[in-house]
Amino acid sequence: MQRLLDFLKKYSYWFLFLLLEGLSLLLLFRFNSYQKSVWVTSANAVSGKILEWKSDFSKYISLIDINQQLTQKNILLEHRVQQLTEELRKKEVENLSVALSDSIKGYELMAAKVVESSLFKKNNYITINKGENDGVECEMGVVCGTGVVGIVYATSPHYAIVMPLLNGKSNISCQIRGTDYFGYLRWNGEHPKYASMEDVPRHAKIENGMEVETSGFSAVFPEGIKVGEVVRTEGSADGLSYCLQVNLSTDFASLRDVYVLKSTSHAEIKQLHQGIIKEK
Amino acid sequence: MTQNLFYRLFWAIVLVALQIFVFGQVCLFGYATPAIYVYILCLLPLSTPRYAWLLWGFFVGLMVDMFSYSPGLGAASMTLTAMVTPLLLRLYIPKDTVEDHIPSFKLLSKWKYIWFVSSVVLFHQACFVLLEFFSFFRIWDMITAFLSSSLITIIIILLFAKVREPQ
Repeated sequence: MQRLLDFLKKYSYWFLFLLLEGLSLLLLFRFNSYQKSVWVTSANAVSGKILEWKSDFSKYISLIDINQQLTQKNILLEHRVQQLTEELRKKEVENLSVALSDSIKGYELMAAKVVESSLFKKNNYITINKGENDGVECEMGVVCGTGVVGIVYATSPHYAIVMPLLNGKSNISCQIRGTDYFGYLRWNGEHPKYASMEDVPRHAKIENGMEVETSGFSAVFPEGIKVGEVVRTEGSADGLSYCLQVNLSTDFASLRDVYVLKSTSHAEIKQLHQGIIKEK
Repeated sequence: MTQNLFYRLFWAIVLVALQIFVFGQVCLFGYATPAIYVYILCLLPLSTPRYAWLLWGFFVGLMVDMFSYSPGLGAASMTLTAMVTPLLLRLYIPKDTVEDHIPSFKLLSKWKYIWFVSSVVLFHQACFVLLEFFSFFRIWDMITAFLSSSLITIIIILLFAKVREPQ
């Protein structure tokens, strides 16, 4: 008996070994499926918390990388935006030419950018980044996506100055859409949003909200390009005609992209004019 | 005795923490994950009772398991290793040394200490890999994992030993 106890005492660690190893293997095989292992894995509160700290810490450490990635991404996106804007502009030209295809037949559209413009002077001018070298000539019409802008007034090799509707000298032949009444659009230098259409006959039936468009009486603008809407009807100073207040559809304050209308018959007409002047 | 206990406790915590936060995250070449916590078994003198070896091994293994989604795996391999380590230590330790010294470069001589650490690590890795793969089906994966992990673990542990024991 004593020897048995001695034996047990001497080799007691074997029992401990078997116990611990058995326990470990039990854990290993029995709890290998995730659900049952909750209490001994990271799902318990203490290790969960510690792992959370660890994750927070490593997140913080990797912030520099993430920042760099974001910056790169930003540059990429910026680039993309630029590309898309460019695409959009091209599309806009196409759309515009589709929308105006009927009225714009015989004209070429040339996209240009506004370089400089004024709004509140008596005689405003707009500078665009296309000039003689691009085929821009004096007395060509200039339009934008929403309506008429003006007429090319002077050109240099790379730039052109446009006389917009907002100029005391501007004088564009217009008509009321859907009728045959026409008149001349002038600007009195007061408000960049409004111009007046003069010389409209008194017998014309004018209602507010009627649309004003170009008449096509010259080669500058084709017929049917929108100018604005009638907001008020007044008698002219001499009482012989109406003077219509027109709300211009072009927003000159935010004008960025314009299109120069290049008439295919422009040169021919010009030649004709010069011929007549010579004859005189 | 109490001082030694705290000393080992300190090392156990350091090793487990390092294993969880640093070395457990490593997987070199897709195979090699160092298991440095086995170093705790190299910090016990030969005079330590056998049950103490087993308890140290088991609990350190269990701690690591709790944080690495492998319940029982570390505990089982560490308990097995804890059973064998005293026998290995007896192989390398000179006969005439005092038995309650912690094994070190100085105590065992340089190469014997390296051999001692290597055999402990190799044994532990063998248990660990066998239990992890639990079949001989992917024999080459197993051998690669075993050899690469062992090598890297041995190197790290020897560095630790060097730090612990400035010469």
